[in-house]
Amino acid sequence: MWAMIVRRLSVSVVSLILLVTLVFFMIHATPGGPAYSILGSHASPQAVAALNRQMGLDRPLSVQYGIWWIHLLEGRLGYSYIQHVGVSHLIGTYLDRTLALDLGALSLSILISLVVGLVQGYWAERLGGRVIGFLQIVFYAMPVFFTGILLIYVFSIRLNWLPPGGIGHHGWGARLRHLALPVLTLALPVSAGFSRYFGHQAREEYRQDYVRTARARGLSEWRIATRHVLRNAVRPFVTLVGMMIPVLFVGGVLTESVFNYPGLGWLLWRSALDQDYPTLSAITLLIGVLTILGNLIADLLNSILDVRVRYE
Amino acid sequence: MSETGAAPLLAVQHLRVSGRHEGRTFPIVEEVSFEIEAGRMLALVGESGCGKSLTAAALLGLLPWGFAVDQGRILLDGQEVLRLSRTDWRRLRGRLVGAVFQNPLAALNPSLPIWKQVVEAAELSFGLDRRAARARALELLELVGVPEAGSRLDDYPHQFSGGMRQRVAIALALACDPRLLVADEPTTALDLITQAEILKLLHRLQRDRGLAILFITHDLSLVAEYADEVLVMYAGRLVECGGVRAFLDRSLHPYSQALLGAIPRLDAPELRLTDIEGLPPSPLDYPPACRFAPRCPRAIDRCRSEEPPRVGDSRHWAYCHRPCSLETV
Repeated sequence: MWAMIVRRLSVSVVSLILLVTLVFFMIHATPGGPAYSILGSHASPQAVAALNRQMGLDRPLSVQYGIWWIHLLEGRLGYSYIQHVGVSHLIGTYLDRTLALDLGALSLSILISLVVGLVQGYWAERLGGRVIGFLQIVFYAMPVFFTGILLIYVFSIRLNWLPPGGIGHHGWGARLRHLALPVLTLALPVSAGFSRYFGHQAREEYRQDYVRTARARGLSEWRIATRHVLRNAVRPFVTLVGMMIPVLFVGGVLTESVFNYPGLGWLLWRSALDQDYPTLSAITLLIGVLTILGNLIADLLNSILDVRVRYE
Repeated sequence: MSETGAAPLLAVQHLRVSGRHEGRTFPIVEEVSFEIEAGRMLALVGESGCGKSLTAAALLGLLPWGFAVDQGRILLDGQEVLRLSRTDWRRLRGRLVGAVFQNPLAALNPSLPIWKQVVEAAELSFGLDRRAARARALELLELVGVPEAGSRLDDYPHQFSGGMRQRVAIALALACDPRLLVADEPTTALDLITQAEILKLLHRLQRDRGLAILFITHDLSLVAEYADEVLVMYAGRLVECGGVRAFLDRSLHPYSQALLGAIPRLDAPELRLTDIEGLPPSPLDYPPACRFAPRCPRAIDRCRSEEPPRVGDSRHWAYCHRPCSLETV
């Protein structure tokens, strides 16, 4: 198993190096450039050249690439010339809001899909299973801005239970109340996708003979679902969840804009519009790192769950 | 069938199992009646698709979705299980009746160590703690003859050979000391030598513990040595029933004869193996009157128009217009 972990870690390191390189060259390949976004598109070539020299952008690409690495390893993400604040500081401010939203939606989605998927697997041949399958397609196809606005209409405008947007500044209660609708909005399509996949896995497991053996021994359906089916159906699901983390983040970008929720997605969107290259590259890197981490954790979890991998 | 007069452990009376197909309900198994007493082995024999596994599933209350018992009674130790609530029937499974199935690898959960699976039902029934549960698991694995059972408690199913897995599966079924074991083709996936060992094990359990066994198979040659009685099923109906010796010596029904003719014999190698022409009918399209008539070499017109009568005596009977060896019974 340790060999597997080492092998898996080295894959992650190689992906990280590729990611850093890719982000560097992508940012450099974009038209315009920092000088133009700072000075405006009508700036004189002399002023642009002077600013480029000042920022080190006139040096050879290889040198810039080296500096980029050194700064990253030192934990320096640069300075946002649009917002006039260090990028690390900026990300620090926005990251926890996005983590609260995305992790909240992720946990809710996992919970929903485990329950719904088990029920769907158990009901595979019955009407109930088909109804669940239909609802999954409906929720999966519903765009975030549509569900978001629908939920705002129902829960904020009609019922006046929850705030329609923004973040709560005063205390945990307010924060949670502001999180409720965005989390639900983001979790609905994600749970639809997750539960459809997990429901399929659960159905396959319910068809296995060991479920019949368990029933023949007089075990309750609850125990069969939680101890037997879940255990076997969850492994591929863990991989899927790891892979879906960036998708979740992209959904988060839309959700944040619908609810005017100032998180990382909102910041990404702003910095793309403002051509705020340091911020843009830092967030892109961060998403990449989270994706690599998500996959790594999923694979490690899987190897713990799968006794056959563990023994080899 | 009862010779001692005691109530049988299992009595099935006029059982009918139906399935739905495209909105219509079709009887698949009909008029199945038999009894098993404690310590006896009854073999239920028939080709694939004749309804023998469905009969077993009905006895266990494990019919797949879309199938239901719509006629008859099942008496397990005097209790009419079809009238029990789902929960009450579930509680009988494992404790009164255990089951072993065909594919021993698929029958075990691949991601739980075997000792946990072996004692799971017993733990829940008797509230064993961990130490007692492991001891019970060891006891059960030794009972079914897993060598060095003590060192194999924490192994997973994929670490066992096919025959050993079937032994483990039997241990699972025995965890709560059931009095009846339904063994649905338990040896079909195994090689010949392992088949014989599993049969010996079942026989030993039957003899030593008074376990009643319903042994379901398509292979008559397995039956000869250990079964007490034989039931032959064709196209959802019982066609013949008898003590194993009487059945092997003088089978009444042409279908039974055909099944026996398909077994290679060491004592008479000059006899050619015979096979049965045609295919067994689909439940959606059972022939009228005698269902075997279209494939039967002895069939006459009456077989296709009149329900076959019951011939023989109470201990060895068949449903047939032209039984093979009735004159010698």
